[in-house]
Formats: sequence, structure tokens, C-alpha cells
Amino acid sequence: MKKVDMLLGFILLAICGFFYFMISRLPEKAILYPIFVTTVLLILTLIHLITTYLKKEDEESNAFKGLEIKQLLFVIATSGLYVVLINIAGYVTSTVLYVLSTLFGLKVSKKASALISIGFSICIYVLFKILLKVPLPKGFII
Amino acid sequence: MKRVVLLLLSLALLLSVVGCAGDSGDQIDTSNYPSKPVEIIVAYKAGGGTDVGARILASEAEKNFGQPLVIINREGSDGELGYTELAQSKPDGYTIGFINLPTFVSLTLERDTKYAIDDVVPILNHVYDAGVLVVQASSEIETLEDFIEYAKANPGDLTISNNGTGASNHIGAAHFEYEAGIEVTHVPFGGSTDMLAALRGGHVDATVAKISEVAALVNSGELRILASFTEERLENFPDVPTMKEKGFDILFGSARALVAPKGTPQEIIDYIHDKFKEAIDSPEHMEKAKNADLPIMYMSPEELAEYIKNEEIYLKEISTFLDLSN
Amino acid sequence: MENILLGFANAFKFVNLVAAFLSVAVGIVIGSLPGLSAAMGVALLIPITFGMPAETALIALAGVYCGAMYGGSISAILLHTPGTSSAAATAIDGYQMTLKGQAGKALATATIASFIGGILSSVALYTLSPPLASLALKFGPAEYFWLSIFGLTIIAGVSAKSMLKGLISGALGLVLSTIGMDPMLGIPRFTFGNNGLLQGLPFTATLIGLFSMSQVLLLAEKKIKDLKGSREVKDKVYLSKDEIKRITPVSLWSAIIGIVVGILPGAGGTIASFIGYNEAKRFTKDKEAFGTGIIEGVAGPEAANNAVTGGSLIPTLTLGIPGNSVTAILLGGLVIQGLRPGPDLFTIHGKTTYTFFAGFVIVNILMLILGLFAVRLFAKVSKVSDAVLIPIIFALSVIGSYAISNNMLDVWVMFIFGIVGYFVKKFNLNSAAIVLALILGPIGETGLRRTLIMHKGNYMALFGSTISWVLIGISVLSLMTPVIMSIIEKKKSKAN
Repeated sequence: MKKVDMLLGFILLAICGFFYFMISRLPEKAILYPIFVTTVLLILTLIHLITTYLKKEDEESNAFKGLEIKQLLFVIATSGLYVVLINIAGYVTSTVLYVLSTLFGLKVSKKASALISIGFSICIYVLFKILLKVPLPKGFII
Repeated sequence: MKRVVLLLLSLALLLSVVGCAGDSGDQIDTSNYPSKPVEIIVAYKAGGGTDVGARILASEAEKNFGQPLVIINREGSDGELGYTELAQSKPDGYTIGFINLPTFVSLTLERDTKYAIDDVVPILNHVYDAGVLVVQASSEIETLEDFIEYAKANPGDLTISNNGTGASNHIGAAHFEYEAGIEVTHVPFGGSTDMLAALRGGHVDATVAKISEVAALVNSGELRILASFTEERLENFPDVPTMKEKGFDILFGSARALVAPKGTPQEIIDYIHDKFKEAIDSPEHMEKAKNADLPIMYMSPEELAEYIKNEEIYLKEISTFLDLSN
Repeated sequence: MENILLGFANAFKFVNLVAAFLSVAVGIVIGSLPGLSAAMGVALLIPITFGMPAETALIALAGVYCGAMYGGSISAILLHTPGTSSAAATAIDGYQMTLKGQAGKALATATIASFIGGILSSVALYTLSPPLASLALKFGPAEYFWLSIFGLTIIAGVSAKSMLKGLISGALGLVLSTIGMDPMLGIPRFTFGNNGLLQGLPFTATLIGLFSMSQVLLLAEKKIKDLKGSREVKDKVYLSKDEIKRITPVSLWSAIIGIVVGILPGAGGTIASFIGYNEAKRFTKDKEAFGTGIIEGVAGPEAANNAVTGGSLIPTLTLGIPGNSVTAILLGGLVIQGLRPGPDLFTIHGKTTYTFFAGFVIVNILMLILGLFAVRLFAKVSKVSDAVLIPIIFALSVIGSYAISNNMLDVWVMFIFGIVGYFVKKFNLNSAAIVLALILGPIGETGLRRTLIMHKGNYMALFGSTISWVLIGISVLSLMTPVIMSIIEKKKSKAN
């Protein structure tokens, strides 16, 4: 965990740095409170970095080991594409395609994938659009 | 197997296309309007003042409209998100919306909004909520003169809560402060509910509010109106003087109007106007509006256009001498 | 008294019972769908209630409110995806129980605790409405500031693994809460020129990202196993007498906290459930077992968040000050029916008000019955394989974040915070602490700055009232408890 914790410390430092930079562009009368909370985060981060640095290395528990990285990236990619696609093709069409392709990629049988993606999309359409009258995202095309 | 998948896929595509049919085609056919439900965009939260008014009117107008009227709450950024959405909607009569004045105008002056004032065309005005200056009924300040006198003797000591920096009530309070030549402390709150709670809990000395928000509290003897920001005295509170009588020429209130995106065919505007006008005049609507303390004030499209224009001129003018940044 | 009995007689009218039954059922469905909040459910129902008589409309609204508040626990327990934000604390132990094959027991605990919370809060609604209402108005800016400080001290308590990481999570939440318009000056802060962020990070979308989408990614990083049967509700939805005895004191205490938090404006279900969780931990001897899946960890937050329902109605009805977003919408429904909050409700409109109160009691009883029965149906959700859950939870997260304000920006915020939430869990930070800080940050900031504006920059104004001192006192207590507890435990172990 030591390496992971050090990484966390540096990410937090970067976040603090980013916010300090953004604060410097605010008008003077508005900076007090943001500076205060960012500094609190900075101090805690520094304490975290120092205590982590002084800790002994422990190899056994690394949260980032033994992951299915390909599968994770695949899900992030399809999910991101899905949100983009919604803007173009609307919610229902995109959802059918997204659920279908994700299930496919996760090695669910073709028949089940097709049934689930279409069944789920129809359920959503009926429940939200027709019964609850919740507007679903529309796209440019549809 | 592949065929089944393909078949189902194309079926789903077909379904979603069918589901959204009617949106397609650029030609706006005015002859059979309305042929599908009309969406009304409300740029504020469900249950808020604007929403309540919109729903009361829409439920009445729906009776003779011929199609369902669906309220869509699209809140955020003080209303800008909803206004932008409305301004950018297809001008086919199937999306209309409510705007709040002066907010609809003042936002365009305060920041770089993604809509312009003339992106919409007026249909009619529904509600006009007059501004009032209120204190707690137990306050030592009995009259407007007391208020001014105290403020002059103790500059900056009197606190007035408002519904947000640069928001409508802040503008009214600051304009009064300027005209009366006094110095008060403006305390911004997140909305009119919080702003009133601060007054009722005795945390601030006074509030500039809309009459519908305080009428019940004044009647119950909890709050007292010092003056109204109106041309004539308020119908339900004939004892309350106007600012104008006291020598301060400030008119201020908020209007809620129905508008359509620019380019909506005139026939459709007329149709919507007539149906909604009919709804406003119905006794059922008047009864509901009275129960909800909504001061109804109908304005024709021409009057509304004029009102919006004047509001813009007024806001531009006062921004030259009022500092609303704190 | 006569009014109270009359109220019950009215509430048992057929139409009111049907309204109560249907609305509780709809509420549970809405609550259990991740991203659909109680606020959304009530907002969706408002237009439907226009045509109803006032008391029926109010009962229906209360039914959705209570049902959704409870329904959130179902997906929190089965999927580790809180259906509503107020069930986030329930997910901690509830999901662990599901992993241990005790889903049925967890669901029964949630149902019974929710019922205890709801019923106790209806008692409060009857008895405390008038006297307690006057207290809420006494909360001025200074008191709100201390209220938020008190809330922030809870962060120290909810972070079980590492206090430092809990505090870092809280500070990160505070920094993120500065995004949006400066509340006093109206100057945009860190909005990157995007007007959609002027109101701050869209709260619900952020929450769905942190709690729902991050779960999708955590499922996706593991090898998909054939899960047939492994997450079934193997056990009965049932608690033994002993177990009911175990959760009763915890639930009663958490319910009282929930009522108080509900009355305080601005707090609401999420904060109540975290305090409830924390208190349950304090109440239980075996503190180490918390987080590993024990019934007290489910009962605490569930009793607390359902107790918020009645508590939050008190200031809404009597003073017109809604305690949270749901009651703000409810208030709108009230006004449409021609009912003005205030003393009139108990005199002129006494019949309607007391029918509503009685309906509230009935709603909670129906929730208990429906809960113990319908939970079986919902449990089927958890039999589904991870591969299927991944796209479905994400697709629901998209609707949930979109439907709040019908805005694609919110969906992107959800997406980004899904990835943030994933790393938060990987780094052992605490999503719940981030969420608490996101809610409390603005309350504290505006409270502090308003106090200073009102008193010309005099910091002593923060210490001006008894309520402030009480809040300072319980904040110090809340901060010290973990420390004191560990000292006591050390002494005990030495003595042994």
C-alpha cells in the first residue's frame, strides 16, 4: 500500500496546486474561504505524505494488483461512448446498443445479450417515458 | 442466431424511431395544431413559486387545449439553463415556457448568458407579484419613516435579507437604499424561503419580499408591511402606503409570463394565447390562484413585450448607480 | 383529541387507503432504483395529486416520501448501490450481510427499523409540531455554521479505517464544494466558464457517480464469475425475537436522532443516516464487527432516515420552512391544495391536517407489510450476474442523473465522479465523508459569512446564542468520542 499511498499524496498535491492556481485568478474579496479549505487539504495531505514515507514497505496489499485491466478499460470506454452516443442518437437507441455491446464484450451469450438489451430498454421506455413521464435524453438525430 | 440478433436489433431501432416520430420534418404544419402534447418548460424547481403558478394555469388550460400540457422542470443557474433550453427549442409550438421577470432580463445583463432577450416572443403575462418592505410585527420600526430615521442615525446597522446577490429582491432593496439616501447591510440568502426564515427568526431586521410570499404571515399578525413598491396601494392591504406616496419613485415586482421560442408561427401563438387567456379568466383558476396567493395580472402579447422592454431599460439604468456586488 | 380520532376515521376511507397503498408501492420502486430520489418521486406525483381532495393528495405524497426513503435501502443492501442518498450508510453493513448470504435478514432489519423510525416520527409529528417548530426559527446564520461544524465532526466517526484518510476525504469534499457561485458575492468560482456549474456541482449526479457508477467499475475490474445462486436471498426475510431485541434500542435511539435532524432545516436523510450509523456503533459492544455486516449497522441508519420523514414535516407544516428538498416540494403540493402552513392548519384545516397525520401512520404500517412481502420480489435483482449488472446500473445512473434537471452536463459530472469514486475506494478514502462535506460546506460557509456581514466582521457574534454553545458542545463531544473510547478500551484491555 505504501506506493499507492504515496501516489495518492501526489495526486492530492496536484489537486491543491490546481485549486491554488484557480484561486489566484479570482477577485481578491472572494479568495478567503477557498484558500482556507484548500490549505486544510494541503496540510492533511502533507501529514499523510510524511507518515506514509516513514512507514515500512508492505507488499502484500496493493489495491491495484491482480485487476482485469482490459475489462475495466473496456467498460469505461463503452460507457463513455454511450454518453456521447446519447447526444446523437437519443436514449433508447443508445441504450440498446450500449447494453448489447457491453454484454457481448463481457462474454454473455448472444441470445441473452439481445434479449436483455432490448427488454431492458423497452422497460425503461415504458416505465419512465410513458408511466412516470420522465423525459429521457434526446439526440440530434432522433 | 445472428439473424435473431439482427432482427431484434432492427426491431428496437424501429421502435425507438417510431417512438420519436413526429419530431422529424422541418415544415411546421399549423393547420392541425395541436396534434401532440405540448411541453412547458419551467426553469425552476417543482414546488417553487413559479412552478406552482405554472401548474395551476396549465391544469386549467389543458381542459380546452385539445392536447396534454406537460410541465418540464429544467432548473439550474438561477433559471438560465431552462431559459436557454426554451430559447433553443424548435419554434413549432410544441415547446413553450414560463419566464420570470426581471430575472430573465437581469441575467443577460449580469453574465454572458447563452440566450438573448429577443430569442423568445411573448404570449401573455400570468402573475404580477409586487415587492414590499416587511419587518417583524414586534419590531420597534412601525413606519417607513421610522425605518429611514433609524438607518440615518445608525448607518449600516439595519440588516435586510434578500434572495441572493443581484437577485430581484436585492435590486429592490438597494434601489430603495439609494433613493432614501441611507446605508443598510444587505444579507444574501439562498432563496426566498431562507430569506423570510431569517426575518421570522429575528436574525435580520427587515426583508424586501414579494407580496404573495408574505400575505399570509402579515394576516396572521407575524409580519408588518412598511411600504409597497407599487403604483397604487395593494388591494388587500389598503392601509399600507406605497413607496411612491412617500416620495420614492420605485416600482418593483416580479412578473411570470408565458413565452414561445422566436419563430413560432403567429397562428400558433394566437391559439395558445386564446386558450390560456380563457383559462386565466375561468372561475376555477381564479379560485385556485387566490388559495395559493398568486396575484393574477393578465397582459396581452403587446403589453408584455412593452413590459420586458421597460424592464431592460430600468435594469440598465439602475446598474449605472447601484453597486450590487455585495 | 376529537380531531385526532376524526382524522383516523377519515384516513380509513377506501380512497385514502388505496392512495396510501399505491403510493407506498410506487415510492419503494422509485427509492430502490438508483438515482431516483424521494424528491424526484414526490415531484413526479405532484401533478397527479392536483385533482384529488387535499387529504388524499397529502397522504399520497407522504406515501411516496416514506416508501422511497425505505426503498433506497433495498438496492443499498443487495447491490451496494444506495437507491437514494440517504441509504448510503445502509450500504456499508447491509452489503456485507448480502455477501455473507444474509440478505434476507438485512432486508428484514431495514424494514423493521424503517418502520420503527417512521412510527416514532409520526408520534413526534402529533406531539412536537407546535413547540419544536419555534426552535427551528431560532437557527440563524451563526447556528447554521455550528450545525455544519457538528456535521463535519461526524466525518471523524464515519471513517473506520483511518481517521487521517477520513479527514482528507472531508477536506477534499469541502474544496469541491467551493465550485459554483460565491454565495455572498455572486462571483463564479472554478466553473471553467460553464454556467451549468454556477449552482455548484449537481449534487445528485455527483452522488450517483460516487456511489453507483464507481460500483460499476469495481464490478468491472474483477473477473466475472458465474454467480448462479451466490447472491440469492438464501435466508428468510425474518428476524428472531433475540434479533429484534438487539435492534430495538439502536433503532429507537437512531429514530430520535432522525427526528431531530429532520426538524433542523438543511440536514435531512443523508446526514441522519450517517449519524444513525455512528450512534449504532457507539451503542453496540462489539465495535470491531461494524463494517463486516451486522444488523445494528443496518438498523441504525434505516431507523434514522425514516424518522427524518416525520421530523422534516414538522417545520414544513407549522412554519412553512422545509427541512429538505422533498418537503420543499411537498410544501408546493400543500399550497396548491389551498393549505397555508401555520397555526391555521391545526384549527381551520384541522380535519385535513389530522387526516394527513393519521394517513402518515397508515403509510408506515403499509410500508412494513409491503416491505416484508415485496422485498422478495426485489431480491431477485441480486441474482443477476455482474456482467448484466454493469451495463444496467450504468444505464440507470445515466437516467437518474439526467432526470433531476434534464441536463446532459449532469450526466458527464456523474461519469467523472464515477471514475473519481472508483479511485476514492481504491485509495481507501471515504466517499461518504466527501458527500457529507459537499452538503455541509456551503451551509457552513454561508453561515459564517452571513454572520460576519450581519455583525460587521465581529467574530464574537458566532458565540452569541445558547444554541450555538450547545452545538459547539456536541461537536467537541463528537470529536472526542473516538479518542475517549480508544483510551477506555486500552484501559480495559490492560485491566484484563
